[in-house]
Amino acid sequence: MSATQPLLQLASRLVTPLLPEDYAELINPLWTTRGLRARVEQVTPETADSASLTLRPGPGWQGHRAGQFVRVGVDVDGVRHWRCYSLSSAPEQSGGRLRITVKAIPGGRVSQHLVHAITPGSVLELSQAQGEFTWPAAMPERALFITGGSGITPVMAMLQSAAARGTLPATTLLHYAPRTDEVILGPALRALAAAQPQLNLQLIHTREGGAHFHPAQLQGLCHDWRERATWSCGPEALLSAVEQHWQAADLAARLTVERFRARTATASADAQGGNIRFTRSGVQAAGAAQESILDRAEQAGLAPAHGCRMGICHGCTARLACGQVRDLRTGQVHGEADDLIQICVSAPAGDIEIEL
Amino acid sequence: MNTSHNTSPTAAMPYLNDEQAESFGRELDAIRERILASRGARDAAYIRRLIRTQRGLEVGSRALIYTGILAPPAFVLGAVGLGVAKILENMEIGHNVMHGQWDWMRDPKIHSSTWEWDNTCPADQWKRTHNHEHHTWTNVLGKDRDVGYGILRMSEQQKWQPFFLLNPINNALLALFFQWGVALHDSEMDQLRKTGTLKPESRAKLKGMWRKARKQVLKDYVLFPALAGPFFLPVLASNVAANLIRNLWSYMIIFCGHFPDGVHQFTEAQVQNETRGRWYLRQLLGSANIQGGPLMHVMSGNLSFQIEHHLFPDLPSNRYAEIAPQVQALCQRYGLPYNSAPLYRQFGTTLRKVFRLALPTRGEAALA
Repeated sequence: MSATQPLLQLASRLVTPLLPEDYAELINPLWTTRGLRARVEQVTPETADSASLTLRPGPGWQGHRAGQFVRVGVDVDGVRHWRCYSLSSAPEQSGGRLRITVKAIPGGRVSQHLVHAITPGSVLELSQAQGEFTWPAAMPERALFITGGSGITPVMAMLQSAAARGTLPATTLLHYAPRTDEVILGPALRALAAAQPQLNLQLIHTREGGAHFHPAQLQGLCHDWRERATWSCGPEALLSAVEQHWQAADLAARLTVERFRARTATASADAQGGNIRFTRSGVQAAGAAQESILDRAEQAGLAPAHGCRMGICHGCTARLACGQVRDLRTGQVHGEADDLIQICVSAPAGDIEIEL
Repeated sequence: MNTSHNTSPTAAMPYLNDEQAESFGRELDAIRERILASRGARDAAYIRRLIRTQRGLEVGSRALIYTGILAPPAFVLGAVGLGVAKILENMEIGHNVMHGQWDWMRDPKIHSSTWEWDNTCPADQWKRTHNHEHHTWTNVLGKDRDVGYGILRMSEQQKWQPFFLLNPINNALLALFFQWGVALHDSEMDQLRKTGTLKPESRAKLKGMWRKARKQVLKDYVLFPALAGPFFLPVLASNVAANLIRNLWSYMIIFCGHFPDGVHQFTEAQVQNETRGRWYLRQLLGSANIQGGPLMHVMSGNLSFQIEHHLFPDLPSNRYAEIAPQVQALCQRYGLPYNSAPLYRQFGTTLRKVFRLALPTRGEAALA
C-alpha cells in the first residue's frame, strides 16, 4: 500500500483539478474510490410486479451481513434518485455478487424503473451496507420472523446465511402475501424450507382467505412466540400491529423491526408556507408562502451565502434535509431529501428542514 | 452623439412599454418552462458523453505529445488536441456546469457546487464574478466589470483616459494570457491602477487563486514535461501551445458575446426597479450571437447562443439551439433587434472598437 502512495499522489497532481478515478472510470465505471457503483448483471422477474437484480459491486465494496440494506442511486429520466433496498442474498452464497429484490410500487418512479425498465449492463450508484436488522453475534435458540410482501427480502438473506453456515435455529416464518403467485422469492423460500427441516414456513395469502396478522392467529401458528427472538419487516400496518402486540406483552426488547419505506414528506400542490428549521444553526422560523427562504433566514439573523437573489447564479444553493419547497418563479412544488435548492427563489411548502 | 452609435446607453429603456415588456417576459418564461419540463435522459446522456469524449481526447492528446519524441509532428497534433480538450472542458462543460445547467440531474460529480475546471481561475471566484456579477448586471456600466474587464475601454460611456491608448496592446495581452486574466478578475487588480491600492479582500482572493493556479502550472509546465525526461522542452512547448490555443479561442468567443456592434450598454439608473420582463429585455439587447454549425456551437460552449444563454443561464446548453428560433421569432413579433452574425463580423466589429475607443470619442477630447 505504501509503495503505491507516492504513485497515487503523482497521479493526482497530473490529473488536477480532477481525480485519477475520473479517468479510470472511462475504462470501467466501477473503478471509483470516492463513491461506489455496481453493474447490473442479471434481471430476474420474481412475480408480475417484482424482480431480483444481480449486482456486481465495484472493488470498494466492503461486504455485508445478512439482513442489511444498501442505498441504491439510479438515474430515471436523467435524474438521480436514491432508495433503500435490503440485500436479498446472503454473503455466503454471493460469489462477489449482490442481489436486491424490488417490488414495483404503483406510481413509484424508481421501483417501476428497476423492475420493468432496467437492463443488464446498467450501472447503479451504491452505498456500503447499513442496518442492524441482522442475526446477533450469538444465534438465538429459537427464532420467529413475521414478514409481509417485499419485507421477505432481508429475511431471505438471513435464513440463507444461517443455512449456509449450518447454524439455522428452530425458526418459524410467518409470511403474508396477497396471493399464492404473488409471493416474492416464493420458490426459493419453499426450496429452503424443504432443505431445512427446522424451518417452519407459514405462508398466509390474505386475498385467498388468509387473515391479516392478529394475536390469535399468531398464537395458533407459533404458540411459543414469547420465547423467540423475533424480526419483522413489511408494510406499515403489519409492523405497527406486531409492535403493539409485543409492547403489550412487555417483550419489545425481543423484537427487531425494519421499515423499508423511507420517511417521505410530499407537500400538496396548494401547500402554503410552513415552519423552517435551519439545521446547522438550530434556528427556527415561520416561513410565509411568498417569501424566500433566504429572506426569512436573514430576518432570523442568519447570513447565508448568496448572489443574485433572483435564481440565476446558483450562489445560494443549500441542502434540503426534509420537506418540500415552492419555486417562487413557477409556483411548482418540488424537493426530496438531500436536494440542493436555490433558497433565493424557494419558499417552504409545508414544514421544512434546511442545512443552514 | 447618441445617434452616431447604436452601442449607446439608452435614456429610458427603448423598444417596449411596461405592458409589452411584461408580456415579452411571460412568453420567455413559457419557453423556459417548456425546456424545464422536457429535460431528461437524452440531455443527461449528452453531457455524460461529452465529458467522456473530452477526457478521452485529453488523455489521447497528452499521449500523442509523448510520441512526438519518436515522430516530432506528433507534438503539434497533440498540442492542438490538448488545446481542443481544454476548450471543451472550459466552455461547453465547466462554464455550463458551474452555471447549474446540469444540477437537475442530482449527480454530485456534475454539479455547480462541486465542479472545478481545468483553468487557473478557481471555481468559487469564477461563480461570483461571472454567475452573479456579470449575469445579474449584464452590460450595466459601473456594475458589470466584464465591460472592459477593468483594463480596456469597450464602451463610449467609459470615460477616456490616456491609459486607454494601450487598448490594442492590453487587448492582445489579455488574449494571449486569457486564463490569467480570468483568474485575476475577482481580485480586482485594476484597483491598483485606479486608486493605488487593492481592496481589503483582494489579498485573500489572490491567495485562493494562487492555490489553484500553482497546481495548474505544476501539471502543465513541470510534471508532464518532466515525465519526458530529456524531451522536457518540446513537451513544455506543446503544453504552452495547448493553453495558448484555448486562451485565444475562448478570448475571441467571449469578446463576441457583448462587444460587437449593435450591443447595448446600460446605466444604473436604467435598471433601477427593473422587472423580470425588463431584465430579459436587457439580456437580449446586451448580448450577441455567432452564426455557425454544430461544431461552432459545441466549441464555443454554445456561447454562440449568447442571447439564449443570457436569457436562460441555467438551462442545459445543448437546448439553446432549439430555443434560438423561438426567441428570434418572439423578437420579430415585438420589433426587437436580435444580434446574430458570423464570427468574422462579430469579432471584426469588436476589434474595430478596441482600436477606435483607444482614442477619445469625438466631443469628449476637451473633457479628457
